Amino acid sequence: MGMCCWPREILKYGKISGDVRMVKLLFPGKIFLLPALLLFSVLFFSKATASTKQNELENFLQEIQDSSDRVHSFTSGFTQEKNLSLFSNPVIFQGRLSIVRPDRLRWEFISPVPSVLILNGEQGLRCNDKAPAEKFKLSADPVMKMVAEQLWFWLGGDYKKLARHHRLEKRDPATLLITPEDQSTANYLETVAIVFDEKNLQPLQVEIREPGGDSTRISFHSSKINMKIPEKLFTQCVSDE
Amino acid sequence: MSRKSALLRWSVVLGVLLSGVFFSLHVSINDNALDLLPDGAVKGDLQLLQRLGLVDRLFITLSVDEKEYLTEAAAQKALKKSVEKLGNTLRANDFFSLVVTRLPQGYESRLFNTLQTYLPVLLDEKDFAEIEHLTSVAGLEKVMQQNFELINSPAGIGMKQQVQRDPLGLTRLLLNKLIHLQTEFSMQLEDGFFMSKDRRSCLVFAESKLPLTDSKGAQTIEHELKNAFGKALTMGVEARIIGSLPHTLANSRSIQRDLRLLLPVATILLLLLLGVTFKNIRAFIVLSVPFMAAPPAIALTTLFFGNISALALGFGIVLLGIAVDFSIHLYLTLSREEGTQEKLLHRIRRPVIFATLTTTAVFIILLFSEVPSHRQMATLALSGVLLAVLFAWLVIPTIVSQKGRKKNSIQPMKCFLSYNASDIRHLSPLLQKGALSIWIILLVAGFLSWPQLRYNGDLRVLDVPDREVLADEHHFNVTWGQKGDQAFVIGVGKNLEEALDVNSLIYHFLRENNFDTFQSLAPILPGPGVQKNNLKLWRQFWQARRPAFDKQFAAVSQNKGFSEQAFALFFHQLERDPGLLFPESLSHSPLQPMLETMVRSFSTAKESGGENQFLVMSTVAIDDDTLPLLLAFAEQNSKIKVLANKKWRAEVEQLLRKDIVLLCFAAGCAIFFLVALQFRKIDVTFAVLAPVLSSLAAMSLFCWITGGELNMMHLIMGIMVIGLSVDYGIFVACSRLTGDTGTASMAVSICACSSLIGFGVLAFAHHPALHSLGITVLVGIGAAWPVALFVSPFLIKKESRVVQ
Repeated sequence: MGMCCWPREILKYGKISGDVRMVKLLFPGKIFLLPALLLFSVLFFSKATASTKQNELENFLQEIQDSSDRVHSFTSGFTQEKNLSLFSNPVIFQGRLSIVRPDRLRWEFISPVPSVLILNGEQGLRCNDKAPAEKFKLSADPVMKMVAEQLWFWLGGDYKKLARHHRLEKRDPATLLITPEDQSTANYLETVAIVFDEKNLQPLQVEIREPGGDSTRISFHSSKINMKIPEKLFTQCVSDE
Repeated sequence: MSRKSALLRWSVVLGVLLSGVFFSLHVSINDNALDLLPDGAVKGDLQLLQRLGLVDRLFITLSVDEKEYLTEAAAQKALKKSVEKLGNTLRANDFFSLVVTRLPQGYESRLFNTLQTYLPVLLDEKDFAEIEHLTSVAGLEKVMQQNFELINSPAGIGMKQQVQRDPLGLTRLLLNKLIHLQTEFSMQLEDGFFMSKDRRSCLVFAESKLPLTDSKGAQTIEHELKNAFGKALTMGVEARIIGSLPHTLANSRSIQRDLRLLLPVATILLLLLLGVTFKNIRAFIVLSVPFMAAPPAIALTTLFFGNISALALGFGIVLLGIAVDFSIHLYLTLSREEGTQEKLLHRIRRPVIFATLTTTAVFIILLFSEVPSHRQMATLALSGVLLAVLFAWLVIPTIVSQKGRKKNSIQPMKCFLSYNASDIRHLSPLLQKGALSIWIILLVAGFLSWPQLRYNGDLRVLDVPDREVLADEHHFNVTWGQKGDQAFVIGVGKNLEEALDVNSLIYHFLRENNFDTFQSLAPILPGPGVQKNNLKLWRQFWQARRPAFDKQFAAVSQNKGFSEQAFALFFHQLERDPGLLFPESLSHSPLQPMLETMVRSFSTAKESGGENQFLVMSTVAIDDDTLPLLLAFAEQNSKIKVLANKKWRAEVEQLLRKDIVLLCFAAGCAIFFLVALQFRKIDVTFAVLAPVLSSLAAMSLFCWITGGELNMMHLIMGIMVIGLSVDYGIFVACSRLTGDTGTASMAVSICACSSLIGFGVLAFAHHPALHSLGITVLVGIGAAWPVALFVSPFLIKKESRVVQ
C-alpha cells in the first residue's frame, strides 16, 4: 500500500476516525513520527482484515462441517488430471470414489489403467489387473499410512480436525485453501484447494499443488450422498457395480 | 602363665585384629558373576559380550490387558503411550543408555533416501544380475509402466521424487537385504513400535550402565526401573524383564533368604553344642578366635587382589571356620588333660602343626585355580587359618586357668561326643569287625560309583530356579517366538574400517554357507574394501552399457508419457561419486539404534597396550551342524570371534573340569605325601587318610544316588572336606600313638559337629549353590567323623604305637 492512499483506506474500513489532518493535529511538526504511525495503522488494519477473514473462515468451516456431518456416505465419479513436469502431457485418469464415514474408503481407477485402493479402518487392500490383491495394515506400511492420512484429510469431511494441522484460508466462491504446517508434508505438498458445491457444500474439486509447480486436479461428478453402499466394496477389489 | 605374658599375647592379637579391622573398612567388594569363571578364552568371550553390551542389556516386554479397555484400538493406544513414556523416562535416567522403543517416524522414506544416495557402493556382484534384467528393454517396459501407475495413484505425490531418483527401483534391491537386519524375534513394526504378532505386547531394549551381574548394580537398576514403570505405565499395562537382571536378583535374594533363616539356626545350634560340651563361658573365646583372624585375613587378601569378590569373601570366611578346630583341640587339651601347660602344649604341638600343614597345603593348591574367586577364597582362607592357629596358640593358654583345668580334667566317657579313641581296644572284636566291614563297603561302593558320575560344569545348575523369572522367560519366548540357540560372530579391528571389512567377510561366509537366519549390518554397511570393489563394479557395469542404455531408457520412458528431463536426477546419480558409506552417515538414520547395538569400540587395558578396538557384531541362528562350521571359520582368522552359549558352556565345563580335577588330584597327592612324611608308617598313614577316603567315597556314592551329577560347588567343597577330614585323622592318630588321655576324640567330635551344624544346615538351603555346599559337607564330614573315631584307631598296629 502506498502512502498516498493509506488514510483513505483507513477511513474506508472505518476503524480510525478522522483523516490525515488528525494526524497533523496530534503530532504537529513531528513528521518523523509518520513511519511509526504508518506501521501502527498497517498493523491495525491487517488485524482488522484478518479478524474479518477469520470470522468468514470460521463461518465457512462451520457450514461445511455441518453439511459434512449430515453425510454418512458419499459416492462419486471423478476425473484426475495430473500436470507434472515428469510427464510430457497432462495425464487424465477416470475413476470412482466411495466413502462411508468414518473409516471406509474405496478409490478406484477405471481408465486408462484399472486399479483399486481400499481403506477399511486399520486394514487396507490394493489391486490391479496384473497382480493378485495385496492386503496391508496401515500401522505397518508407512507409505500407505501417509496416503490414507492425506485422503482422509481432504475427503473425510472432518474439517475441524483439518484446521488443527493446517493453515486454512477461504477463497471465493466456496473454496478452502489448505496449507500444511508440518515441514515433512510441506516438502512434497504446497497447497490443497477444495472447491465445494455452493448448494450442498459437497466437494466438487480438489486441486493439489506441489512445490515446483506440479499439480493434480480431481474433479467429482455424479455425486450421491447418503446412499446405501454395499459392504463388499470395502472388502474386495472386484465389484458388480 | 604370668599376667604380663598373657597381656602381651592379647596385645599382639588385638593389635593385629584392630589393624585388620582398620584396613578391612576400606575393602572394595564386588560380586561380579564373571569372577566365577575360569580365566582365558571363556572369560575373554564374556568380556566381549559385556563390551557389546549384551550382558547388561534389558529386554522389557510391555503387555496390555485388553479387558481393561473398551476397544482393541484403545488398548493398543495405551500400550504405545506407555512405551513412549517409558522410553522418555529411561532416556532421562543416567543409569541407562541406548534405550530403544521404536523407530523414528518417517523411518522408511528416510532410510530409502539414505540408502539411495549410496547405491553405487552398496550393490554387490550378485545384484548386477538383477540390474541387468531391469535395464533390458523388457525390464524397462515393465518398470516404467509400474512407475506410471504409481505416480498416478494416490501415493504418487509422495513417491514422485523417489521415482525420479530411482526409476529402476534399485533401492528395492537394498531394501530386500534389510531382511538381514531383522532380529530373531518374531515381531512386526507398527508405527515404528516393535509389536508382537497378537498386538498386545511391545518390546523395549535398554542397556544398564551398571553391571547387571553385580547384585548391588542390579538392585539399583531394579529400583530405577520400578520407578520408571510407575511413572510410565498406564492402566492395564504391565512390564516383564528378561536378561541378566532378574537372574542376579533372584540368586542374590535366594541366598539372602536362606542365610537369614539358616544362619540363626546354625548359631543357636553351635552355641548349644559348645554350651553343652564346654559348660564354660570361655568357650565363646574359643569360638571367636577364627573370627578374630578374619579382618586381617581380608585385609591381606585385598592387598594381593585390589578388591575381593563377595562370593570369595563369603565362602572364604566359611572356610576360615575350619580354624575353630585348632582352638577346640588346644582348649580341650589344656583344660581337660593332666600335666603342666608347657608339657601339654608340647604334646599338642605336633598334631596342630601337622594339621595346619595339610590344611594350608590344600589352600595353597587352590591358589593355582584358574578361577579368580577360587584364588581369592584360597588366599583369604590360607592367611586366615595361619593367623587363627597363631592366635589360638597365643590366647587359648591365657584363658585356661589352673583351677579350671583341675575342674575339667578328663571324666569317664559318658556320651558319644566324649568317646575316647583310645578306648577302641574296649570295643568287642565283633563291633570292630562290623565297623571295618561297613567302612570297606563304603569305600568299595564309593569307588564303583565314581566312574558313573558326570561332571556338569554348566553354571546354570547353580542358578536358582526362580518361578517368576522362569515364567517371564516363558512369556518372552511365547510372545516373541525366540527359537533355538544363537551365536554372536564378532569382527574385531584396530579401527572401524578394519572391523567392518572383517564383518563383510563374515557376511560373505554366512551367505556362501547357506546360513538361513542371521542378522548382519554388512549388506547395508559393508567394509570400505567391499565398498570400493562395489563402486568399481558399478562403474564398469554402466560404462559398458552407456550411452546405449540412455537412448533405450529415453525411448521407453517417453513412450510411457514421461518427459525428456523426468529422470535427470537418476542420470546425474549414475555419474556421481557418492563416497564411501560410514556409520556416521547413518547416525541420524532409522538404523542408528541398530548400529549402536551392533558396532562398539573400547580401549584395551593399559597392560595390553591401551589400544582402541572396534567390534562389529552379527548374530546367527545355530544348531549342532552349523556351530562347528562357524568355529572352524573363526579359527582361520584371529579377527573373528564366535560367542555362543553352546560353545562357551562346553569350554567353561571343560576348563572347570580340568581345573577342579587337577586341583583335587594335587590336593590328594599333597595330603598323601605330607601325611606319609609326617608319620612314615603305612598303617598310620592309612589310618590318617581313612577319614579322607571315607568322605570322598560317601560324597561319590551320595551324588550317584541323587542323580549322578557333580557340580563345581561339590568339588570345591570336596577339597575343603579333604582338608577337614585329614585333620580328624591326624588328631586321632597322634592321640592313639602317644597314648594320651584321649581328649582328641572328643575334640574331633566337637569339631565334626560344629562343621556339620555350620555348613550342614546349608543342605536345607533353597539356593542350589548353597545346597550343594551344605550337602557336600554334610555327607563328607558325616562319613569322616565316625571313621576317624571307630576305624582309624583300629588301623594303627600295636608296634607302631610302641615305636612312637
